[in-house]
Amino acid sequence: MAVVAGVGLFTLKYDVSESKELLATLRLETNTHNQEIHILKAEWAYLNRPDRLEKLGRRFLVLEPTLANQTIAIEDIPFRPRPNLGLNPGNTVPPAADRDPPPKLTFLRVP
Amino acid sequence: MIGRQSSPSRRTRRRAPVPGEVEIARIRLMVAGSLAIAGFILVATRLTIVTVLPTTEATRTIHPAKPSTYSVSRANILDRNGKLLATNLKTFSLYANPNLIQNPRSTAEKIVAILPDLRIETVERQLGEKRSFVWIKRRLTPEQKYELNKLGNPALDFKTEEKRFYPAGRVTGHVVGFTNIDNQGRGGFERKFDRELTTTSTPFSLSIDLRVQYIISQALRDALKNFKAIGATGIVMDANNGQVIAMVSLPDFNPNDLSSTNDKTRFNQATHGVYEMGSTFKIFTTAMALESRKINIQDGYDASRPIRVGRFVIRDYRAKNRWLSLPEILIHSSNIGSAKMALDVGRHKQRDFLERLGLLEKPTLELEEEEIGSPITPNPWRDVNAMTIGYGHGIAVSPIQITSAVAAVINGGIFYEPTLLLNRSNLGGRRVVSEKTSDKIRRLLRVVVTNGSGRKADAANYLVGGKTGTAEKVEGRGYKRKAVRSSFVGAFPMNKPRYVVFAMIDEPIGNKDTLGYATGGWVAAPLVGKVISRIAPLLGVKPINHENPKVQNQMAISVVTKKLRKKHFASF
Repeated sequence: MAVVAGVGLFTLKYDVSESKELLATLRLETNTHNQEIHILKAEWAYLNRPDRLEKLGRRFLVLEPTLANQTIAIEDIPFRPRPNLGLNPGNTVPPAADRDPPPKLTFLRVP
Repeated sequence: MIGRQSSPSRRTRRRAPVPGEVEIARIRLMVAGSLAIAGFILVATRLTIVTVLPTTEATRTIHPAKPSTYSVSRANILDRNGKLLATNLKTFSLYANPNLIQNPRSTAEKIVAILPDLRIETVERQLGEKRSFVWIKRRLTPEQKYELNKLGNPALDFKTEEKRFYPAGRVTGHVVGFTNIDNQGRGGFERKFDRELTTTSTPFSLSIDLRVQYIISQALRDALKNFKAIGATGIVMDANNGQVIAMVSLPDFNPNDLSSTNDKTRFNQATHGVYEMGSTFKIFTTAMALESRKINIQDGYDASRPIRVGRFVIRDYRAKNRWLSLPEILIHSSNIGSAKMALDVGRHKQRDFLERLGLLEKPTLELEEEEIGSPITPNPWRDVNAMTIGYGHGIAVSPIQITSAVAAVINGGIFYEPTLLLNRSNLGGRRVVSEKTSDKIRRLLRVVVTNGSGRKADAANYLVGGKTGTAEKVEGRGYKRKAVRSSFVGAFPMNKPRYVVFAMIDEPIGNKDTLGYATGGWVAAPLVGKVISRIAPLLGVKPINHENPKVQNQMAISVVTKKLRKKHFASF
């Protein structure tokens, strides 16, 4: 019994110290990665600074800042009149499935 | 067990046991044995509890291994959308141990070959000192560090240091602030929250929106250039909670490179400077008059001739020389009318009113005391002061004060202390004027933009309202006639204001585009209009169709142009 316990303890101890080593390596790696992420985040913020984005946008995009008269409220958009099939007289609001999806109001991203 | 085995040998050596002795021994053995068994049972039970049953006190102390987090010694600062405004980066700094250096001259030469901005003599002297630590150069580039490492000199070593980095640079300079070479906050938010930033690792979110901050700083920069002005400042504030969305002061500085700054560029005009605001103060005079119920929107004052008080003469910039109704006083920005209005309400009431609007005391804001200016107010507060304050002279307040005061009179009448924090704990405001007065002020300010001096601020479809101001600068004991501070304070959309925008240009010089004018209406109003048309979509403000009958009803105001009973309604 003592021998079994001894062997068990021995292997367990080695398992633990091995795992410990692995943990330390992983921690070190995580730390290094986190540090890299930290620097990359700072660089990302620097590259996304508004004056640079504006310059790049002017150079590479045909988009311009949104003007008020380019947007329209969703409730001001009329429904498409349904083709009259002779079943219902006049224009009726089509069932939900037939309707066009409401147009999306897209705001341009301006630096 | 032991007893029985050893008993034969004992018997051979010792006498036969006395009857009863065996019994006693057996009982003793049993007592001892049962005690031991009881002990084992105790241990076994405890073991079972600890190992088999889940979450007892003992097991709870065993924590799973936490992943280590990369931590820096100063917390990040973010804008309201989570954009990075300030962070710490690791850098290397070179130091030397002069005690270990045999030949300071040759070592100095080698170092200067890699770091050409150092002088050989200085480095040699440093290396010759009888010390064990001396900084040679801080914040090296990675290549420099590599080259220096290659020298293989044991007396040279590196220390990892952190450097504060501001990705947006000068755009956020005054608000976010800056730190010195030892990473101590020396300006702006960094200075005020120095302790908090170094004790926690959770980032701080400011109420600033980097995009808005950039747009207004760019607009002010353009104005500075176009009008050859000496300074400019601008603020965007959420009208309904006092959060500062943008705050700019020009000339500015680059917080990443402090060697390029001086006291003048570091001065934050938006909070530190106090100025006579001029006509924008007429908003408060009007609000006060309406609130006191002394005057109604159809009433007015005779502005046909200048007022003479002692050695002062109060006159209008563009005199109409007739009786003016209350909306007209604002539309034409009549000093005479405003002075009479202020006097009518009375100086005591005026002082109380301005005090409630936070205009007579230092505002509370997340900046160091030294960066917030104290308003300059008259003492004693005489009638003549009441009159000049009525049109914004004889009192000096900071732009942040006037912005939050305007927010209060137009948002329904609640004053909120200005703040730079996105999640401030105490968000309660206090009522300063009634809903009704606030509603009238909104209509009045809209009319100033549609028909008055603020016309150029009218960004299409955002229902801008506001008031211009042109204040002559004090020089010595009098006013400089030509040097002015031109400002505009506006809000949008006026039927339900969401944001207040303030802009002020210091000593603008009129140009061809402005027909030589350098007044608030020509310099600051168009700037605010431009800024609003760009920031409104970003801030999610929907365009408003001002032909909508409901909106027209919200903005309608009757402008009387003659005293007596004959009313001329204008449909604005």
